[in-house]
Amino acid sequence: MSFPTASIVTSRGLCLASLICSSSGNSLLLSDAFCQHRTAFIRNISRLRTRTPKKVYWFKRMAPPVFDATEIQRKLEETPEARFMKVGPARIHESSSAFYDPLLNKFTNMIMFKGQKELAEENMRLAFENIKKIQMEKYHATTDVTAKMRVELNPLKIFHQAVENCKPVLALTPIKRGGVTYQVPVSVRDKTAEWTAMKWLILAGREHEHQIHFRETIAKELIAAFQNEGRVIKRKYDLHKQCEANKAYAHYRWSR
Amino acid sequence: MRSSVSWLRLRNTLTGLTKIHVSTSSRRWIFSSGCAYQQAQPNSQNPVFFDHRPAQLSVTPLVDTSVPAHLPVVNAKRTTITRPREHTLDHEGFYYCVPPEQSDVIYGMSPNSGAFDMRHRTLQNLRFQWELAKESAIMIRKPALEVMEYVKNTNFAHPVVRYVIYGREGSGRTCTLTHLLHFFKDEGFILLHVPKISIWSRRYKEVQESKFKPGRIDLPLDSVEWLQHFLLQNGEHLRQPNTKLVTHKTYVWSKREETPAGSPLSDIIDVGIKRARYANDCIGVLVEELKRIVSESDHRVAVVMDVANALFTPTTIPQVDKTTVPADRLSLFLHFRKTLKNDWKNGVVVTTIDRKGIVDLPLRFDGGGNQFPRYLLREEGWAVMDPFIPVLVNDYSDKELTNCIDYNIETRWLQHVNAGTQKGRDELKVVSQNNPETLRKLMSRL
Repeated sequence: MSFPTASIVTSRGLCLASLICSSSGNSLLLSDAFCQHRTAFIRNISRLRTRTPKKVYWFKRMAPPVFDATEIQRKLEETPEARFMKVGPARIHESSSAFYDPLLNKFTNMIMFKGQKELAEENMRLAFENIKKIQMEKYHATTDVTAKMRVELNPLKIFHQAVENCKPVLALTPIKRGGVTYQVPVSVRDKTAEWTAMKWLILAGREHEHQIHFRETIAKELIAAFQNEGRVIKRKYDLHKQCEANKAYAHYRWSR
Repeated sequence: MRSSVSWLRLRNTLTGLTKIHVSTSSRRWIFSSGCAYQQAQPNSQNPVFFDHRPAQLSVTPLVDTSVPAHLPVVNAKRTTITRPREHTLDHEGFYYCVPPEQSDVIYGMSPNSGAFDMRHRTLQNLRFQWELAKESAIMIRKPALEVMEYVKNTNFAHPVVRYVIYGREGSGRTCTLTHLLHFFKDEGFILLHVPKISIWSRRYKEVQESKFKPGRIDLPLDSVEWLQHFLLQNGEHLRQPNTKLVTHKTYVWSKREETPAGSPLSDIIDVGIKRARYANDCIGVLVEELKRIVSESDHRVAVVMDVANALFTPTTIPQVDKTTVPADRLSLFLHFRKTLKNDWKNGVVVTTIDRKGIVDLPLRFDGGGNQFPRYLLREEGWAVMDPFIPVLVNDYSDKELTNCIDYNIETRWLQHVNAGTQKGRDELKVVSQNNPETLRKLMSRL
């Protein structure tokens, strides 16, 4: 198969050196790169292909994998000794696709049931389509040019901003002091806040009437959160309020 | 009329967003926020193309002040020729807009039928695209041009010519049919259009025993829907004063209800729409009468049928003995099979075939999907349709694919930062394998 200049690279199970040697930037392994668009790839082949989880060998001295072609080049120029380092295998979902987004992938994994990733991806696709439809209608409804410019049409941007807006700053942790359990406000790490925001969004999306699809409700929730409105934002404010009320217990976090 | 090149210059003066670098070659590069895009210049290889909204553009610079910085300035290739008759191979891969008054008609936009119905998923997607872009754009492609060329050179004194449009799943058979539907409408044909045959065998609404012939199965609600659809599409022919479309004998519906000979066909349709019980028989009468009238008069009928091979395969309607109703007992199927026979003239029959229309086909073990007419029409369908002209719909060529992506960027449907870059385009091409439907699915989330 011959492919156009910008092609797709994964580094699953390969080290950097071999990648560079084999292809000088133009390559290579397609089967993994397409896991982003599994449904789009030849359907029958994907049906026949079954993946058994293999044991992943990861030694401490392995460098984290780089799966973007330009990134590999940049890294090699920065640190030439990387050519001789062992590189860990990339995750199966990671690809150098132009449309790959780690946060979206995380979100897709979180809405997934029973490992049905194709279904989860399809749901996210339709959710994004719904977002675009809703925003396009708004776009055409506004007549003012400056107001038109302010309508965000990019579903990925809406998604990222929505997660950002839903991130809590504080959380409550139960801490036992003198036989009494106190709900103590603590600061949350960025990673945890991100996870919480996404979990809240998904729970809000799942809270719906029978026969309304998740893909429709999640689209509405994401747009609402993008505009700092909606149930998830309220939930965040409620938590912050609770933390504020329990301010007096804050010292239990570090004192006895 | 302003060519798109001068339109680009106009836009530059208005916004200052883009710079044009004029080179000696016949192509020019447009640089926008770091990305370079090639814009074809009209010459002998690339025929002149025009912008679709020349009049509006000179008045208001509505598009371009609002192009977000990351989006490239791209113009899809279009043609202003809205009469399908005038489309030629020079326009292959270009978009054209169906005039709004005709786009409503060719889809029969009644709330109960046509593109509004969830059951017509392909049409629904096309309708969404039309609504979101605020224009009804269709890509001009080779198979449609081929059929139009044949129809233009047909001798209508001979029996009807049958066309079977076939191709891979999602390759654009229904969109080809839409283009042809516009062509027939524009040429003044009476349209006998069934948006999807297979919904009558798979997703029917109500089932009832026929009173006309015992043992046959009627679908009253679906029939009423179709009659409304027919009325919407052909209102102008039916409402004409002194119309030749009249019945030649008396039809007795019940003891008290009858339609006398010489009454216009719209009366028959009214009976069907008002009394759902007779809707099936009305369609039978309509088909028979149309075939008879058309063969004698200067009217012409275009039978346009999507998933026509479903007419020859069993239905999913259950029976008491736990079997399903065979195709030759569903009265709607029997009526529409009559249109496929070449025992009449002054008409044309255009059909598509689809694997999904066949109920009893084990899709999974289909050996990769045989899409050829002999396999999908089966023995029975072949016997009725033979001889016919097969028309293959291929996946997008590279030119068409590029224009499709350009169009989606232009109408703001494609929003991803990388979508317009060479890397993004290449990925869309490779992953979709140039298949229009797969491309649509990929683009819907970007």
